[in-house]
Amino acid sequence: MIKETLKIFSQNVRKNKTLMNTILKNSKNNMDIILVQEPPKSLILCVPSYTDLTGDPIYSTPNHPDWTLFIRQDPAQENYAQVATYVNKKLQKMRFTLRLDIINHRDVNVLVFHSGQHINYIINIYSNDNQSALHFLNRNIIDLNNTVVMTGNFNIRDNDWDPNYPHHSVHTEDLLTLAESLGLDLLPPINPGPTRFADNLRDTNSVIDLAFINPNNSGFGQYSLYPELHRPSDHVPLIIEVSINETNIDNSFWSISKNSKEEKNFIKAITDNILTLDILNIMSKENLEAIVQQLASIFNEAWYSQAKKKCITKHSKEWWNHACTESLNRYRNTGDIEH
Amino acid sequence: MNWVKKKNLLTIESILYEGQSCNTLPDLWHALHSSYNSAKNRPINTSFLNETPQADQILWPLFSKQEFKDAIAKCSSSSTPGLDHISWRHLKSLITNDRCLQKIVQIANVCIDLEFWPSHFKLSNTVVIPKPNKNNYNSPKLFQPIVLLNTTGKLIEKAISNRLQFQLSANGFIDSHQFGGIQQRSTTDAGIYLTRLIRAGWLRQCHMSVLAFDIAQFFPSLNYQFLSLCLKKAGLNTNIVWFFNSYHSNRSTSYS
Repeated sequence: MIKETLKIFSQNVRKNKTLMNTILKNSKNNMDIILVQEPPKSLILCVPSYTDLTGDPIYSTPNHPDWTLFIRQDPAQENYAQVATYVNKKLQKMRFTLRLDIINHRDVNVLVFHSGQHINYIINIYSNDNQSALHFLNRNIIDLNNTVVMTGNFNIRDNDWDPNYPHHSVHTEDLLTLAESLGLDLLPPINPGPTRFADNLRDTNSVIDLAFINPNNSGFGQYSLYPELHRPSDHVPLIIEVSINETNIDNSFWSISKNSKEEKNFIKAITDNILTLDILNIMSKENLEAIVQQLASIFNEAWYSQAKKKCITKHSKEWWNHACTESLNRYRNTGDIEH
Repeated sequence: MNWVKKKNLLTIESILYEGQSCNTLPDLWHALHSSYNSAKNRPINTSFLNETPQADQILWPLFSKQEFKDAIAKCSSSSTPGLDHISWRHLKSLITNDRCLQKIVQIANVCIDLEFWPSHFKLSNTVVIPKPNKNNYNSPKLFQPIVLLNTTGKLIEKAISNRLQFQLSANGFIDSHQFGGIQQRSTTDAGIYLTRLIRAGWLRQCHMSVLAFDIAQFFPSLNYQFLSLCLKKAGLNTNIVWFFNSYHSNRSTSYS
């Protein structure tokens, strides 16, 4: 399967676990990447501690079998990550990795991925009211040439992108300088509108969630706002589409099922052909090498004549079934691995 | 939706080698190769072998079919095969045909006779697996490489290994303090031996202390010339020594 565009969902979920779970569940078939600002954290368990009788709490952000979660780990609670990125497991061939060696900050995720022979970056930012992420990025000059998209919740109101707001922000220049240094342009959405709805009647709705896209991208880059999907968060989700270099994300593999007709044919083909090998007359190393190569091609031919191409899809049957659960419970109760 | 599935290991960070992130495949290959084969081609001093007495010559009879059946019986049918896709399960089915087994035994005998290990048996695929329970996975040392060889070659290797162990034990070449990897010796034996030493010390009113250490990269740092000299000293015939020279040379692997 060839991938040419990436569909990216970005939203500030306001630490809402239910919303996070719903996004993960609903987006698994139509989104490639989910960028989350202010991800939820929930208590997993309390582990025994030297200092606290009740134990040290362990927090985590929701995980999902169809998504790989990229989040910075920090034992200090006040430093819990404010951004999280989920990548669809269908894209594992693109080798996404979190580049903590470039940016190790709770409010910024820099992800690298490979498309064809190219290395590309995606930046997910949550810049709080103090603009700590923006200041950090401007202090620590980063050189990421192939940034495809930088998006997130920037918390900057400015007339440049919000026509209903008459002022300019002191942080705008910093933000645009950063985007320029990464070779990115601020892109208006296809359907302009507020990206955050005010909590009370005194305030007005605002545009503070932005997307910066590489203008030199050979294909296209665009994004739309989906205000009808924002609840229960006050931020509107952005759905960004960017083109990337053609990449093969085929996860199929060759296999022969156990106890199948193919397996019987496979064994029979090999047995029949091995019996034709003339081993008694091997006199030299070259002869031996040739015979073993012949053996290798017997295996190879039999394999490719009987193996079937398989692919794990959303319709694939999960390998873990009820019997596995029963066996595991039995093992846990009795410690007996035989039955 | 099932939220309580077994959680995958967090292999989400870029691998760093000597402070640099490995982004391209050549970089990654260099990092893995340099980490896992760092001890390759190091010079060694073999003079201490001179103190070891030369063992008596051992005869190397032809392999029997039973040796192969014994060797394969202990192999797990569910382990992953090498590049030729032949698993132990397939090989176990193959050798139920007696003539087929006879052919494989003949190939093994010819290999020893011609002192040659064919190149097909040297091809391998190295799979890099994250070590469990680490806080992060950003260095090659936090991964465990496993080399998957072609199974037919491995079966012959197992038969040779069993034979070597039997013969070297029989002529007393294996040190009595070697507990690991030897049949009928186990970690429990090492524990019993250690407690015996400690108790013997206590009987003599001594204070006992134990110094334990681990040798990093032990198997990759084995020197093949040294191994040949050892085999000669152990009294193995020249066929076997030359066979191992061929066995250790011109090997290649791919990472996946």
